[in-house]
Amino acid sequence: MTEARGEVFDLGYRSYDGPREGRGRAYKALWVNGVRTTLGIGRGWGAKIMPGLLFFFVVILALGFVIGGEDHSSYYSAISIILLLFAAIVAPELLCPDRRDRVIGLYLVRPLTVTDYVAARWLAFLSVTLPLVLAGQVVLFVGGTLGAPEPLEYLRDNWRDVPRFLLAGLVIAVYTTTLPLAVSAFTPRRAYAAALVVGVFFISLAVVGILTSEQAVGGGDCEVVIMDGEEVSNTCAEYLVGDAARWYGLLSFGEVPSFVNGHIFTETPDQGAPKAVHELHAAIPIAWYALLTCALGLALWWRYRRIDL
Amino acid sequence: MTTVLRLSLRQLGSRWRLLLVVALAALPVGLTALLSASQGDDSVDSAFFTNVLLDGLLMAVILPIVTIVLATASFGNEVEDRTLSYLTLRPVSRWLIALPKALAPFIIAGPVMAVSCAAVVLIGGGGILGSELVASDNVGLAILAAGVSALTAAAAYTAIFTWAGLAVSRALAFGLLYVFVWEGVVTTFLGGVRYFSVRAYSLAILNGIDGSTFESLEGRVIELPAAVVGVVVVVAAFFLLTVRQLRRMDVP
Amino acid sequence: MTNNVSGHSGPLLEARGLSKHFGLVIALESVDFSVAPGITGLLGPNGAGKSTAIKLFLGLLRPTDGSAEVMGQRPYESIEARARLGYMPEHDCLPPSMTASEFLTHMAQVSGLPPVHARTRAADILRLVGLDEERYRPIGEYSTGMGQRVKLAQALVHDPVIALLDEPTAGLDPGGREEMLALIGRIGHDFGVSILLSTHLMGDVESVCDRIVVLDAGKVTEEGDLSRFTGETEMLYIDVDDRRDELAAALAARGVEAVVDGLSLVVDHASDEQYDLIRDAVVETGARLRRLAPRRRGLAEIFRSASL
Repeated sequence: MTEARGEVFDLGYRSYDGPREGRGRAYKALWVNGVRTTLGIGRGWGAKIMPGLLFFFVVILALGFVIGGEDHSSYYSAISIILLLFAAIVAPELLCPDRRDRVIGLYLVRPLTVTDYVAARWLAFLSVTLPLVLAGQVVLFVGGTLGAPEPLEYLRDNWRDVPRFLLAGLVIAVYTTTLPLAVSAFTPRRAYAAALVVGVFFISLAVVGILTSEQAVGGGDCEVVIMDGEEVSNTCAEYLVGDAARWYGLLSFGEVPSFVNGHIFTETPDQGAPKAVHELHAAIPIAWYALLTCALGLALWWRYRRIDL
Repeated sequence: MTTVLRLSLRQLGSRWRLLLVVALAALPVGLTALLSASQGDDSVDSAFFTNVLLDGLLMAVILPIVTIVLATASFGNEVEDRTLSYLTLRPVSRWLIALPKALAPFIIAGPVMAVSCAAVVLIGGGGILGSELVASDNVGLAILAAGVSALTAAAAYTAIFTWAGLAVSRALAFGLLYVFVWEGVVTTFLGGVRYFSVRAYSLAILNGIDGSTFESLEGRVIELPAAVVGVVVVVAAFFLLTVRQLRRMDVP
Repeated sequence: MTNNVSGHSGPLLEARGLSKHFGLVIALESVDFSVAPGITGLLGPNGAGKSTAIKLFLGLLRPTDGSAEVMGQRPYESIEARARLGYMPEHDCLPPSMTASEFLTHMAQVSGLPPVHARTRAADILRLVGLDEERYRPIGEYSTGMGQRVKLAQALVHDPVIALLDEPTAGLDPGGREEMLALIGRIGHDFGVSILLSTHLMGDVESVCDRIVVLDAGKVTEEGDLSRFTGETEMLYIDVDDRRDELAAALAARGVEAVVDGLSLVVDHASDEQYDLIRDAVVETGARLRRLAPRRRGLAEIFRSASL
């Protein structure tokens, strides 16, 4: 029907014969909507608190690092708490309301698949977290360069940190995107998803923190062996619960990306679960990270494959 | 009032939620037992136990999370399910609605957390498993301190988060931000903020009742009278705010 | 129609041997029917399988057996087919925090329209369904009637070939229901958007549909043009205050067959001569005539007589 009748025209109705961009446009629209939701654009001020807070901390901490002269390797663990809180509170916004308000049914009868929907939401959240975590590192790098007495020399000495923090940023952003989204897929209430994620993060952090804590060993035969700048053995302190602490450390779910971070920067973390896990073979934390991320991603996808409408 | 209290308790005390609360409360107890058992003769210093286990895990993480989940749900579920009007339509004074709604989460969270804290001190300090994580001359006093401190903290948190469940549209996010950003991060940078932190009140009470066992908190606590006043003010102020909010809001 | 997917020219929707079981519950059992352009009513009591049939055509559910095709394609496989479908669910499906304008623009884009066109379409459709000033307010503040209009609008915003409306009149007051039906009638008859309208109300179907499919307990019990059911069934109702039986006898004596229906006498297909005969019979018996009026039989009566 290309020609509308007179009476129809009076009502302002025209058939649409413009372009139809199908799946690609649908995907893009969901992505844009997801990014706007994440940042709280077009919503009340309440929705802007978390992204604003995260941005504030990211920049403040980076500036603090510049002033304190600290390096890139420990930056991510410094912002991880606020990043996790942000992810736990905001990520459920992308999935839970669509199911609770049952908008999801309207999406799925349109030109896209369930996989497209989940992927677009996932990518939307990643598109916010990744630039935010990298922004801090960029500030830190630029600040470090400009603040150095010999900027060029600083660049020459530190350029390797750029690919490292890019990779490590991707590692932490992918994890903090996948975990809360996967949890959100299983409850229609945002509050429960957020509480679960935060609970798992902080309780495992505290518990593992205790399990991986060290105590001084009495006696005088204390020895630290350092080889190639790395601590190979240290008999000055031992774990409260013995060497099993290195494995317990893996259970700190909020710190899984930090375990990989240490290997990317080839730096030994100085305390807590990351330090304990670092004493394991490098393949173990990396495999653990990959396994967890893939399992969570699959759980998310699987849950939506068999969603009730 | 008893009807509302009974209904609220039943709402909050659904099986899985109770299970979760008990599991969370049992976690530090189990951990203390594990540490005690694996410890043998070497005694961990009391400071570690107090700061990391009692404060770091129980007071700073588990107690707030348990009270947030219960207290924000007290009014939060009514608002979300649009059933608040059934309560507010009744011709009774608003505080008779607010009181049971605030009491219900406390009745569940308070005793459970007090028992958890007391049990941690008992196992850690009583030498039950053959080791003494806590060097205490008077275990009874230490247990009392832990129980009272947990109860007061639960009361203060409950008052705040019950109000939040009614007045803040995303009460849970508000609660998490308050606990982990305000009490967790900001207090470490700005010492003065301690006077406005429930966690600091609970530590001050712990230290105030049994100063010898929990002396390692010495540098970080505020004065006991300030803490007591703080708790009373918080509970009273947030209860009154809840009543005021109930009076003023349009019930959908 | 120029807007069929891949120039498809068969029926818009076609169910062949379509079955859907949920565990032991049989929602649809080997159903065959097709939907042509125009407005088709899918009529049946609650639980007859109407929503299930609609969801099968939309690809939200997969058939246990048989096929549900949209313009010759399986909806859960064909993204092109889904791009030209509209769906108005029975349940609430609107995000309360968005404004109608935002929501419609977003939904048009998800249907594949570029942003500029999406905005224009959203504005046009919202005006069409009668939401003008309200469209910049959050949907959460809308009344049921306004919500139903937004639901209808989102089903039409991308100019579908066929829109599947699941109980669009549910929850509306009589006035709102009339308006909704009038709107659906305009859309289906004047705008070239075909419609499958599911309802449990005979009145809805009678007032706007061209064809009907009747579902009962998972089976199609009737199917055909609405006129087949009502067109040739004009009846004359004769209401009298007294002497009804005498009148009936007088009519019978003149060869006019009249059936007693409640307080009325009913004559099928009254011809002009019969009108004269009826007049004579009334005069003869002296019955006090209250009403003499032709009426089309309602669907309710058709089904009542069919089930007897």
